[in-house]
Amino acid sequence: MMPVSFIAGTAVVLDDAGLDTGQILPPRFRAQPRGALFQDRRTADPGFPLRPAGNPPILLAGPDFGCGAAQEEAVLALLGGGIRCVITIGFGGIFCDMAAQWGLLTVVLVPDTFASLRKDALTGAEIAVDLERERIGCGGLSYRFRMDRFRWRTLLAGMDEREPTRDSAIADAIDRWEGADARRRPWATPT
Amino acid sequence: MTESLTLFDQIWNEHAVVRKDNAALLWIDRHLLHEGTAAAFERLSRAGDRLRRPDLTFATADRTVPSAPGTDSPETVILRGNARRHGFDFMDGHDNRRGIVHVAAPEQGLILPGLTVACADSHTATCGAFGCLGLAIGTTQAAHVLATQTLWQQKPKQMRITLRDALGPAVSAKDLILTIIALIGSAGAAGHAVEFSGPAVAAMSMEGRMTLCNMATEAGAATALIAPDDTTFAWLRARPRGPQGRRWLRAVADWRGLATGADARFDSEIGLDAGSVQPCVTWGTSPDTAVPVTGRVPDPAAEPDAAAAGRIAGQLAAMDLVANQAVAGIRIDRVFIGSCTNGRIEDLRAAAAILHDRSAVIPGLVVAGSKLVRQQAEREGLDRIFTAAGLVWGEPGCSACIGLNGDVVPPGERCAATTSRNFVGRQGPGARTHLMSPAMAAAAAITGAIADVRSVMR
Repeated sequence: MMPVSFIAGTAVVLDDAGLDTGQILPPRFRAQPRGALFQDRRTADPGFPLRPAGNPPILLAGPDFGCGAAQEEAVLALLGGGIRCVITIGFGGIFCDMAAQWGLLTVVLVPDTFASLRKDALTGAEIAVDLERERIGCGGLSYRFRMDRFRWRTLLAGMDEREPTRDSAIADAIDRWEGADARRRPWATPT
Repeated sequence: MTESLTLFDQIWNEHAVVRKDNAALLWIDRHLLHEGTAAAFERLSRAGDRLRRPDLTFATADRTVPSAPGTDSPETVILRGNARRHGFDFMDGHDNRRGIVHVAAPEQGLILPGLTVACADSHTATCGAFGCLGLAIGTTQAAHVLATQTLWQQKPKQMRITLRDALGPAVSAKDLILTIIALIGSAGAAGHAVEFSGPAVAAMSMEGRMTLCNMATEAGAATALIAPDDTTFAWLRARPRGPQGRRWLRAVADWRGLATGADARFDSEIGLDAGSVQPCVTWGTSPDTAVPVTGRVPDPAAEPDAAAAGRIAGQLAAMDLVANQAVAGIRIDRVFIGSCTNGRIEDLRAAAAILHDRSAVIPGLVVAGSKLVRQQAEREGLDRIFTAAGLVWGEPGCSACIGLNGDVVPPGERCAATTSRNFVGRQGPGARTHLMSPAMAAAAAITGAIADVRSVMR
């Protein structure tokens, strides 16, 4: 996975609340997610703002984006469509966990900040997302966001979650926990 | 010290192998797989990892299994190969234990109080009904669990939902959870582990508790759980893969300590009188749009907030409904009874009680959540009630909840479904879904419209 640090470009705005992973990628396309981004929504509405590929790098999404099924292929459909960062006031389900494994940046803003950014984005303004400083710049203004430390470190380093667990101290801690548990909870092993 | 901990804290603390920044590396006691997780094995191989604990890894086929006996999906064939290669237990097509992962795993006694359970499925919170920690993960995280039997997790906040009083006649756990979701919203429990407690929960069967925890997901909950009690222990006793003999006695003794302390603090507390809950249905394309069956769909003109009004108008258009329309009487084209939300024996009994000696006036499909549920239903003659009513009795699986096995609702049709999701296109492109309880779906089947189950009860 490539490190994620700085993403800049125009943004596409998608106001719908609760766009679940099944709308982002209809599950019948899960074997080939690239090119099927919002397939059914695009078919139903020719004016739908996202294309299957070649979109601006930033998506300003409505609340609850990525709720629904734990369908990780939805992340691949977005990346295949050129999206590298999704900004909203709140993600659904485990979307952020799944996105982080592939280096798709997910940013949560408070509603007022989001509304201001959305207004600028609709005018075609360029947006710059600086993960290291946790700042978004647009139209001369700078907005702060917060990401949890674990996720922030792994994204900046370009690691999926397997990397930190390879550390020998952590591997040893797992072995110790496992060894002690067999005595502590004899009933926890399946019959 | 224990007094100040929540049930969630107890399980979290016990399983935290390592803490790093705000994340914890949790030991996973059970890793459940289904046929949609092939990519996790590809990743395991690419990373040069081996399956660490085949004995804690369990698989079933559910989402692509045809509801009429048919050939195995390519995904099922791949899972079978992975089970052979890595040596884990696969409840395969011919296996009497096969079913929807959240139905079949508890039946085998694999889901126990105090455990951590991970599954690459968003409804893993279902197993929280047993007082364990169910964690929904993606396929990349599943590869991590395969390799290490652990999972990095950020600790969620905690919410308690206290359900006072008792459910009324013909009001089910499904009506209760739909009411809760409508009350707090589809993101109402976002970022929170939810503990359900109170007299209405204590009085509830394990099937009802599973329905409750299952759909906490639709309120955005990170997970949901219910403290184990005698109902839990009675349900778990003598399950094939659960503890036996002396280990059972030791287990129950340990499990009795799994409860939230009297002075434990939650980040958020909500209370609801279960007695006030009515049979309800969703009218929109989000699970938080349930209204009592005696109610009306909302009017965007009455909504002061412009964005909220726009969302209502959009959902009315998507569902082909008119503002202020009465919910009862909305014409229904077909019925689906089943899923990990409502595919258990109690659900089938509730539907059969309404359908007995009656005919459905619209097509419908009834799918048990597992082979064992199916066999139990057949022993009780429920299958004959369904088929005599004109409904199809399908092979166990996820079926028309997500339509990955070809059971889709045709475009433009309106389905009364006992499932958990009514998102645009969830049951097929152009399909319209109304979520409701099994008894309410049965009432829709015999009337061809959304109907108050209390008006057709005998």
